[in-house]
Amino acid sequence: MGSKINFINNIPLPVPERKIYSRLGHNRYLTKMSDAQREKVEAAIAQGVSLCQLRGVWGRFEISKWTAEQVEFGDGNVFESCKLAELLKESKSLVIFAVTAGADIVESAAKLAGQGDGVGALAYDATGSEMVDAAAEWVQQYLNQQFKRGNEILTKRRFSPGYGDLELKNQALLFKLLDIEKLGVKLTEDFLMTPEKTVTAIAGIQNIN
Amino acid sequence: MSKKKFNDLINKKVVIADGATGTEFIKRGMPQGVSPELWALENLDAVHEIHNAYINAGSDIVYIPSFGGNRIKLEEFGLADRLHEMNSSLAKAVRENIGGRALAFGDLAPTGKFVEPFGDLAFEDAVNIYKEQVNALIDGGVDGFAIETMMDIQETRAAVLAVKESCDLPIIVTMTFDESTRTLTGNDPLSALITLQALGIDAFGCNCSTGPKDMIELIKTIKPYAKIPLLTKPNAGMPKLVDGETVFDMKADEFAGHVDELLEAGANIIGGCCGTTPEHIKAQADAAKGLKPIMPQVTALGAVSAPHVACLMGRNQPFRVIGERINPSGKKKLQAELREGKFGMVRQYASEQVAGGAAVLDVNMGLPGIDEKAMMLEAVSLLAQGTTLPLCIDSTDSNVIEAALRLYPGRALVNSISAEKSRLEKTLPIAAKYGAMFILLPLNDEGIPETVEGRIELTKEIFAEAQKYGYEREDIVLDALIMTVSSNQSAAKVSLDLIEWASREFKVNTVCGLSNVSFGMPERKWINAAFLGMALGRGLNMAIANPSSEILMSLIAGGDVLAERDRKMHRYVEKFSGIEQKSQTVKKENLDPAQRVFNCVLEGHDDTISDAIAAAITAGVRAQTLVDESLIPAINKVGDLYDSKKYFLPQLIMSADAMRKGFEVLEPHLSDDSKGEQAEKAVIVLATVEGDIHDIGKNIVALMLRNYGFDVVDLGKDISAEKIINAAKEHKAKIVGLSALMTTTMIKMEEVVKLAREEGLFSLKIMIGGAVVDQNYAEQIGADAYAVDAMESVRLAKRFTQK
Ligand code: B12
Repeated sequence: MGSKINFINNIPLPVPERKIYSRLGHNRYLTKMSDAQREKVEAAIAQGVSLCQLRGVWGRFEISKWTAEQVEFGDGNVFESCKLAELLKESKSLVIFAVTAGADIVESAAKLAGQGDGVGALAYDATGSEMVDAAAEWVQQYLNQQFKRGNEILTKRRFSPGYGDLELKNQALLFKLLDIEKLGVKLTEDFLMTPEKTVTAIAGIQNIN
Repeated sequence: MSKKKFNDLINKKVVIADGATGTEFIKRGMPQGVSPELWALENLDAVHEIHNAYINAGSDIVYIPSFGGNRIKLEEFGLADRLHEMNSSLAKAVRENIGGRALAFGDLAPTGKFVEPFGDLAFEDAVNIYKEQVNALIDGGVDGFAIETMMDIQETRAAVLAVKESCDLPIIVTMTFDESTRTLTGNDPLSALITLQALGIDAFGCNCSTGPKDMIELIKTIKPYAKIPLLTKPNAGMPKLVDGETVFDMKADEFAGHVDELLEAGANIIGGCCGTTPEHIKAQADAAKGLKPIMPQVTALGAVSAPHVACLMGRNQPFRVIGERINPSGKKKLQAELREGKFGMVRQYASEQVAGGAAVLDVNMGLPGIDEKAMMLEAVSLLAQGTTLPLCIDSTDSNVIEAALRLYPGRALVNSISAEKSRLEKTLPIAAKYGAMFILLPLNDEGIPETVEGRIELTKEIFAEAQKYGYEREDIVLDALIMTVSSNQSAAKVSLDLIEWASREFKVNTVCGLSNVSFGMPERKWINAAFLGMALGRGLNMAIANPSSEILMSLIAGGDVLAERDRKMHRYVEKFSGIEQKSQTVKKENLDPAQRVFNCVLEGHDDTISDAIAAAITAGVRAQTLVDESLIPAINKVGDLYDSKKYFLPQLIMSADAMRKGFEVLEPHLSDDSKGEQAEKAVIVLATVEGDIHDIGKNIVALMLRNYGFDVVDLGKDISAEKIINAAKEHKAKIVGLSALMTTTMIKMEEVVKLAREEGLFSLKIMIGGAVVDQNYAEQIGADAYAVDAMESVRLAKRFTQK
C-alpha cells in the first residue's frame, strides 16, 4: 500500500460512556447520583456526543534503520526517542495516524463555559476527550483488521509526540507526512493542535509468524 | 447450488469449511503489499494446491480468493478496471480445479469504507459496488456466497442485498466480533442475527478476531434465536507475543479439541481463520466425524433489532411498549419543526421515550406539505445512530415504507398492513423482502368490521396472504383496533374479545393504541388504565403508547409480574426500589424549610433553591440563619462527599451553582454587617498562559472560585505575561492563577512570576495548575502554590485571603 495517505471521514464508534464518566471523576463503586443529577449529566453527554465529528487519517511507512535511540523511516524521516524505538523493535514498518473530534464540540464547550454552565462545559470537554481517545483506539483496531489479511498486526501499544522522550516538536513532522490540516486541524507555534480534541499516534507493524 | 440443496447438506452432517488462505499465500511466496487477488490469479497453481489440501482435509466448502475483489479495494492497487476479469477468472479456475469435490463460494468482504447512516458511502453505492463483484463471480461460476469478516451491519446488509438481488444462491455470513462480543462498530451478534436472518441469509456466524473458546460462548448465546444454521471460523487462538514475534500458536489438536463444544453450542458449519492450516481443518473434520450437529431450534422468531440492540416479542417476553410520540399528527410544534426540516424534537422525543422504558419507537412523518419519504429517511438515519431502540416504520405510503426498510440497519416493525387492496398488493411484498415484522390491521377497503367475527375473518385472510411470502405467526402483531367508548360503549368489549382470540387461539402478538379507548371522555387516564388492566388479563402483550405515563408503565410492570413475564420479579423490584427513599425525602422537605434549602445545595438544585429560600423566609427563618445553618454546612458536606469520591466533579459544580444562586437570593435579606463582608470580595486574576489554548481546567477553577464568593477576572487563554500583570495591577488582585496543559507552554509561567516580582508585586500570591505542572515546578519557578484541582484552588484562595 506504499506510503499513501488514507482519510476516514466518519469514524463509527460506540459511545465510550463509562470512560466519559471516569474522566469526569466518577467512581463506579463510590459515586452516587440523584436521578435529577444523572439526567442532567446524561443529557449533556448525549449532546456532546452529537457534537463530535470523528475523522481521521493514517499512513504507513517503511522503517529503513533502527537503533535503540532512533528510528529512521519513509524517505529519511527520523524519530529520536528510546522509548519509541523500544516499541518499534520488532517492526519493519510503522503507521502514523491522527484523529480529531472536530471544532464543534470544542467551540460549544467554550460557549457553555462562557454562559456559566460549568456542568455542560465539563461534560462536553470530557466527551470530546474520550471520543477522540476511543477513536484512536478504534483506528488501531480497524488497521489491525485491514492488515491481518497480509499477515500483519499492530503493536498493542501506541506512542505519541509529547509522551516520554519523544518531543512534542515531532508533531510538525506528523503534520507534514499526513497532511493533517486536511482534517481541519492546525498546529500552533508551541506544537499544540487546534481544535484541541485531536490526537496523533504512532504504532509499529509486525509480521505474524 | 440451490438454497434447498444447501439446506439438505446442512441437515446431513457437520459441514466443514476451509481455513486461512492469506497465510497460505504468504507461505507460497506472496510478497507484502500486493493485491492478494491479483497474486492469486497469477499463481493459480498455488491456489489449487491450497484448495486441494483443504478438500483432502475434509472441507465441504472452500472460498474463492476474491476477498478484496470489490471496486474500492482493487482501486487501492489501481486494478479497478480488471474487476470483472479478475473475479470471474478466479471463480472459473477454482471451480474447474475442484470439479465438484467441494462447493466453491464467492468471497465478499469489507470495502474498508463505512456506509451511511454511519459513514459517507451512500447505501445504494455500497449495494452496487457489491453487485458488480457478485455478478462477475456469478459469470465465472459459484455455488454460493460467503460474506465474511464483516465489521458493520449496514455494509453487511448491502452485500446481502447485492447477492439477493442478483441470484438465488445460498448466502452465508460471518461477522467479526472481539472478546467483548461486539464488532468494531458496536454490533452485537443477536441483533445482527435477527437483522440478517430476516433478510433471508442461509447461515450466520463469526470468523476471525477470536479463537474457538470465545466463539463457543457466542454461538451458545444466539442459538436459541437462530432460524438458520450457525457457522464459525475461529482463529488458531489469540495472537501471542513469543520471543518478540507475534504468532497464532494454537496447534491443530488443541484447535480440534474444541469441536465438541462448538457443536454442542450449536454450530453447524465449522472452519478456520487466521493461523489455521489444512492440518487444523483435518483435525477438525476428524473430530466432527460421526457427530450430529444441532439443527435450528426455532422456525420463526418474534423479534426486531437495531444496530446495537435486539427486542424479542412473544408470550414469555416482557410486555413491550411502542413509543408513539414521533408522529406529527395533532402536535403543532413538531409539525412546525418538521416543516422547517429540523429534527431536534424528534431526537428529544426519542431520548425521552427511551428513558421512559419504550422497547420500540414508532416513526411517522406523515404531514401534508412535506416530502414524507425524504423526511422518513432522515429520521431513520438519525434514529439508527442516536437511539439504541429498534424502529417501527409507520406510514400509509408503500414507497415511504420501502425506502425506510431498505436503509434501516436492523429488522423493523411495519405499521401497518390491512386487508385494503393497496396494502396487500404493495406493502406486504415490500415488508416481506426486507423480512420486517408487521402490525396487522383487521380492516379492509370497506372499513372496520364491527363484530369480533368480522375482524377474525379479516385477520385470517391477511395472514393467509402473508404466509405466501413466508410469514409465520411470530412475525405478526395484531392490532385490536380500539374505538372510543364515548361513542359506543361496547367498543371495548369487541377489542378485548379479539385480543383474547388472537393471543390464546390464533397465537400472535397483540397490540393496541391504548389511548383511543378514552377519546372524548373526561379524566381519560382512568379509562386507559382500566382498559389496559382488562386487556392484560386477556393476553395483550404490546401497546402503542406514551411511555412517559407513569400509571401505564407501572401497571405494565405489575402485569408482567402477575403474568409471569417478569421471572423472579427482578424488573419490578428494580423499577420500584428507591421509590420509598424518594417519598421519604419529599416528606422531609415538606417538614422543614431550612432543611429544604440545605437539600437544594446538597443535591445541586439551582432551579428550585429560590423557591425553597422564599418559603423559608416566609416561614420566619432568618436569612443569616439560612446562610450559617443551611448553605455553608451543605456546601461543606458536598466538599466532603467530593473528597471521599461519593460525589464527582459535575455534582460539585451543581451544588456550588445552587449555593451561588442561594446567596444571590439571600443577599437583599442579609444585615448590613454581613453584606459588608460580602462586598469586600478578594480579586483573583486567572489566565491560561501565552501559547496555550487549553482552558477548560482554568474555566472550572474560575467557576468554583466565583461560587465560593471570590471576584474572578478571567482573562481567557493564550495571554501574555504583560497582560496578566497589568490586569493584576489594574484590579488590585490578591491572587493570580495560571494554567498550562503542556510542557511547551508551562515555561511561560516563569515569565509571569518574574515580571510580577520585577514590578514590585511582592504580596501578590501566584498559584499554578494544569496537567504537566506540580508542587516542585511551582517552587522551582518561585510561584506561591500549586493546586491539583479546582477544589484545592478554592482552599488555597481561602488561605491566601484569610485575615
Ligand atoms: C484528556 C487529555 C487529552 C485529551 C484532551 C486534551 C485537551 N486539550 O482538551 C486528548 C485525548 C485530545 C489529548 C490530546 C493530547 N495530549 Co493529552 N492529556 C489529557 C489528560 C489525560 C487530561 C487533561 C484534561 O483535559 N484534564 C481535564 C481538565 C478539566 O483538567 P485540567 O485541565 O488538568 O484542569 C484541572 C487541574 O489541572 C487544575 N488546574 C488547571 N488549571 C489551573 C489553574 C490554576 C490557577 C489552578 C490553581 C488549578 C488549575 O484544576 C482543573 C480542574 O480540576 C492529560 C494528563 C493528565 N492527567 O492531566 C494528558 C496530557 C496533557 N496530554 C499530553 C499529550 C502529550 C497530548 C498530545 C500531544 C498527544 C498527541 N501527540 O496527540 C495531544 C495534544 C492535543 C492538542 N490539542 O495539541 C501530555 C502532555 C505532556 C507534554 N509533553 O506536554 C499529558 C500530560 C499526558 C502525559 N502524561 O504525557 N489529551
